[in-house]
Amino acid sequence: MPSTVPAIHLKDVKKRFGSLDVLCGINLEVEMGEVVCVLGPSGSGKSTLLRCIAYLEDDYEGRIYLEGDLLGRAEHNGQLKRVEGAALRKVQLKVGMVFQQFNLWPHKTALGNIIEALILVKKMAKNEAQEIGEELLAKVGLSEKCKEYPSRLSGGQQQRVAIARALAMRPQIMLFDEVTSALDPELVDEVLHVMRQLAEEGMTMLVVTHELGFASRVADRVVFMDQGVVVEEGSPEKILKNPNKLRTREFLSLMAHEKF
Amino acid sequence: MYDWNFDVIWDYRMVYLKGAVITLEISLLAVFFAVTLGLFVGIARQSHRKLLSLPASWYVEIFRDTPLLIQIVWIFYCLPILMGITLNAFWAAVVALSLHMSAYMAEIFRAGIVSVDKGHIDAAKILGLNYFQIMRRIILPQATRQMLPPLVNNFADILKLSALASVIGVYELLHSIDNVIMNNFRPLEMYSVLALVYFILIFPVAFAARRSEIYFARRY
Ligand SMILES: Nc1ncnc2c1ncn2[C@@H]1O[C@H](COP(=O)(O)OP(=O)(O)O)[C@@H](O)[C@H]1O
Ligand SMILES: [Mg+2]
Repeated sequence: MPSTVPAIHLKDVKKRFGSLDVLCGINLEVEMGEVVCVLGPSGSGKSTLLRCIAYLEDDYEGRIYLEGDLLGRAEHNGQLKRVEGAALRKVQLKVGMVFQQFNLWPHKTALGNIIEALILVKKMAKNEAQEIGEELLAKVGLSEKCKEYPSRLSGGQQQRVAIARALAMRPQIMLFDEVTSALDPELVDEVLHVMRQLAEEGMTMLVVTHELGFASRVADRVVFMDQGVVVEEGSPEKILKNPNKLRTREFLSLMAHEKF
Repeated sequence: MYDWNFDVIWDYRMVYLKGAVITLEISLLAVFFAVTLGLFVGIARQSHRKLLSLPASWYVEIFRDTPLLIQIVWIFYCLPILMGITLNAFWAAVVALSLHMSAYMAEIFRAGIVSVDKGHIDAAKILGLNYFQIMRRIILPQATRQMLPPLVNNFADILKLSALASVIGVYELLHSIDNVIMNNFRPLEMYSVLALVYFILIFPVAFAARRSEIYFARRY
């Protein structure tokens, strides 16, 4: 039986930086277990969209529901008020995020990066956290790199550690922001492989990417964004091969030229 | 040609030693307070709350933009009259040196904190770490790498500046030796050896500052 509550539900989300409108009313639903890829030109607001869902940007209008729970806000007599502390954290921790620049903490080892939040946030005992960390490193194929500092790892390895670190908190939803864009071409596949495996396990994923191959093979749905709005969305087949909108078509032909 | 006579120095070895101990006491206390105060002021300066950052900025400006010598004299002579707080000369020197250097320490902490990649902080926020956890576990350990050499350098500065305590009569190195010279009239020998004693105190600290850079460059 399909679940009726979407994993992610954005209602008219607007975000501006100063006088710049970056998100101009985004409505988006992602079902549980669904993999949605977001495409769009640089500056169209893709990162900002993910950052709002991760609550790294907290100053947006509209509503974001994660598995039916309102993120970062509570309703009082029809008025939306910000919430902080435990009430925020409970919803926010449903989300894990992986960044283009990996953002591993350079003063901690691969394992140290993974267990930090387990110990500080989940209050786990160190050896218990280490067990989980080692398991996750094995899962992303880096068992033997436990004790290495990030600077000793390749970009692809660092990104896999970053994925493992996010997974350690057992999020229901994973956000990926151009996670292969900073990698040398030969390292892209090892990261995509881990993401694909995750998708097959049924993780809900919202993936900003320029990897059209990944989008067409793994995504259940593709969303095309431009200038802060969702221009169109649909199956990968539809959006990548036969989009309705001119802007989507232009973008895809530009991508094809740029890359190869 | 001046007729050096270093034999007299040996007679005053205990004066040098006691002076050095007081100089070290003042300096170590001042380092401790300056680092502690500087940490809080530096963090406050970085706060996005104006109520914290503005006073912190003024604090830094006031203590950096007035001479330490004036601060020492002011705390020793004026504070008792204005506020009824009387400090003996030793503690007046420690307080003045601590306040003065804390402004520099605050700037070092601030620079260290802003040097940390915003992305590392974002990653920590998403994982649910709170402000203090992020400061203590993510920001400060990384900032240390950048902060330690200038912090240690500041310690060397404090050792040098502690000589100013002589103006309010603290028997640290300089004042102790001045006092002796009035009796033995051998300023050349006494001051030359005094310089050497300062060098012996300060050189290891300056050396450590440089080593700490190398140490952190090697780790991660
Ligand atoms: N912190 C910020 N302050 C000001 N402007 C920002 C900030 N973050 C993003 N922007 C602007 O918002 C727009 C969308 O950025 P972004 O979401 O990063 O787009 P994308 O990820 O699609 O390339 C860009 O014009 C960018 O310059
Ligand atoms: Mg982006």
